[in-house]
Amino acid sequence: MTMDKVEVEILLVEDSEKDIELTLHALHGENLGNPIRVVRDGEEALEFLAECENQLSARTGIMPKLILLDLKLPKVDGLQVLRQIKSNPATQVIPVVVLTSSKEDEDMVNSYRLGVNSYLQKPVHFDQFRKMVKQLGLYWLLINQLPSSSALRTKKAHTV
Amino acid sequence: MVQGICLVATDLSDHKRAEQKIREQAALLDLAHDAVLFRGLDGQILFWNRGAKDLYGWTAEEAVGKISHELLQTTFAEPMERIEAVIQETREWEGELNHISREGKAIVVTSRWSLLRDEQGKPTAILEINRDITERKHAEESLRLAHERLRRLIDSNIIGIVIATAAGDVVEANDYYLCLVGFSREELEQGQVDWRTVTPSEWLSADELAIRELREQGSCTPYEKEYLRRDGSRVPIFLANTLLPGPEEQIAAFVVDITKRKQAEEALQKASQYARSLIEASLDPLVTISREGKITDVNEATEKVTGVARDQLIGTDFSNYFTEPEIAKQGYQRVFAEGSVRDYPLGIRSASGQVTHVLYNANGFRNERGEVEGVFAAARDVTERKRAEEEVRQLNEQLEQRVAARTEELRAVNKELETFNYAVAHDLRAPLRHIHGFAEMLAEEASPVLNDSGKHHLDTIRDSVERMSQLLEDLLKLSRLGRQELSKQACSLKPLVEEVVKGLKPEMQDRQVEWRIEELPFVQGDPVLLKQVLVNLLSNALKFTRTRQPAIIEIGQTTIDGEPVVFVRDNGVGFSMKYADKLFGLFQRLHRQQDFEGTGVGLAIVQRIIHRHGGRVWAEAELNKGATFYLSLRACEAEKNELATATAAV
Repeated sequence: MTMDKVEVEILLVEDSEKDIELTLHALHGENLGNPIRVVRDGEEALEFLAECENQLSARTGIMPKLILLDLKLPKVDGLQVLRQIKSNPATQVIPVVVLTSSKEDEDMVNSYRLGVNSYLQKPVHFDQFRKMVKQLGLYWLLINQLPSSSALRTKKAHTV
Repeated sequence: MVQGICLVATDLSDHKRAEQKIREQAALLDLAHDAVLFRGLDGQILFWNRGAKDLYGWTAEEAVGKISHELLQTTFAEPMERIEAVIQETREWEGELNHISREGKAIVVTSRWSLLRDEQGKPTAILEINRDITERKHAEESLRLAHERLRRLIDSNIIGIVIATAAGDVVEANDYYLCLVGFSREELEQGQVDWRTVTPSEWLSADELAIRELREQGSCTPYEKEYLRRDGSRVPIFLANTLLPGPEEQIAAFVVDITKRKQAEEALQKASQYARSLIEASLDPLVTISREGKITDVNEATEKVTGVARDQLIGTDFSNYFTEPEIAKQGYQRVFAEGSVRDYPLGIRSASGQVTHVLYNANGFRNERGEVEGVFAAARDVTERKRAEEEVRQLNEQLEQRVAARTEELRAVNKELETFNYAVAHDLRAPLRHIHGFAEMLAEEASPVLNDSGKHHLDTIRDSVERMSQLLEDLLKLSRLGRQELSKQACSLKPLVEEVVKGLKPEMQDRQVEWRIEELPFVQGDPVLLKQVLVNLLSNALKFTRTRQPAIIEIGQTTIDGEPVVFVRDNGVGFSMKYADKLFGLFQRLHRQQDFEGTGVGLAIVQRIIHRHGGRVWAEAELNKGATFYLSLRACEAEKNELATATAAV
């Protein structure tokens, strides 16, 4: 996909078509009108974020407000993507919510070790899934506070 | 001394003439050594020679005229009458007389009397000639006494005394000896006793040796031999000989019957031999050590283990024969200091260099004064034991290795299962989600055009997916249980039960439930897993008592076959014991899904957990009368076994 000037607010990293459909259906069903960008693997995800970074510096774009990340991805797998995101100062401030089928302890521990902001297991029950997405959207996009783009731009050089 | 001669002119009586003659002869008699005296028939001394004076001390002047036996205080050996009778008859008498000299000294004489007659034959005087035999008498008396003492000695029969010739004739013997050789005194007197005949032939050479020594040196070394008596019995004797002075060669021997001594010797010998044979028979090397650390005695086993002969060992340092001489030395020094030593390890090095590992047990032994004279040490060969220990150690090592290898295998298998699990969890869930999601979306979007049947179909699809999802979760749970590390600790069951009951509160809404929780034991187990067991059992109880008002659920403990057992009893719908064996089977249910929901995994999980704890779980029930589930939890250590059995199931 080529870059367009729409400012993406939600990045969905998911490789299964059916899952994408279900997730989008849920997101739209909850009237979350935020612009969504879907990428099908980890490589695409990182490429996209790199582009966003450039755009941010050039003041032509923004970083997404939320990344929904599946763990089972081809090419670069979910945890790797997470690691990259959280080690890059430009992207580490973006809330990452892992949305996955797995409830394995290993995945959970590793994700949190890498700095994931939230870990959710996709329920089989669709209604439950819809409820979950509603709550997550509400929380991370409306309630949770994020720094502004200008703040990100000027403060990015500081070491913690 | 010549008396004065009195010459009278006129007629001399015969008596006087006789006197004259006597006096003339007296002068001659003075030359005689013996005491010569004349006395009248009344005893009056008429003449006294010089010899008499020398012998008795009285001079002639003093003696003449005195009664002789008064002067001399004569003691007669025979009565006077007898002497007179003899004199009258034979005109002579001879005998011994005892006189006292002038100084009071006792004198013994042989006395010869002669009766003097005149021409008519009438006795006129007695001539008495006395020879001093006092000395001789004394000598005779001494000899007699000596003889008597010797006789007494011989006849006392304290020991045998015999006098014999070298040829064998026994000349004299006391009763002891005769008794010894078995002859009578008559036979001795008849010369029938011969010491050679009573000596067994094997002893004769000893006798010959003794006789030779006797002849060369006059006496011989005492020796032992035996006599063979006429009844065939043998008596052991001890013999000391000496040559007697005399014209013929005669041997005097002192003979002692040493039967008793011999018996005692034999007994001692036997005992000593017995003791020695035990020492030699001992398979353990035995040794005695002096205070200076030298070997004083060894047995055969010691010779064998050191490879050194007994006489080479004795006198040498004990510590020479060990791989660690200093340690050996400290060992026996410890015995001298403390009295004994037990299981002291040492290595004996033989002459050929071979080392035998032993454990020493040693004690000090005392002499008759009670002082510690030396150390008695016995070595127990532990080579075999050491070898066995080494073998065991090696086997253990091998076992450890094999166990480690097996554990690795199991770990690998476990890892595979983990991966499998993960895959199942992830990859099976996704399609389920999709089915559910799209069915749901279809239901919503097609709702206007769907009839009841269509709606029903979609509901069924959704229900099936939900059920499958549940089954999947339960399967995963069960599988995880099999592989999980059991973290055992002491758990108090009662608080755990109370926790579970609290957690079940939402299901108890609008229901009358009576929980009877009694005292429960402490058990060894994984609290998380045990809680899971309780959750399953209690939620089951709750579920199957739904129709009861009130539902009564009891949790308590009892003892069955001496084991503590926990039970959960409810007053619910129960089940028939006909199907009891299906109870804990995977996905087995005894009730219809629409009556009571469930996947049939709950009890399988309970069983898996309890089995992993090494316990047992079983149930008793009656249809409509409720059910009781029993758990026995023993302390288990067979974790490895659990690991092995767990790999068989997923």
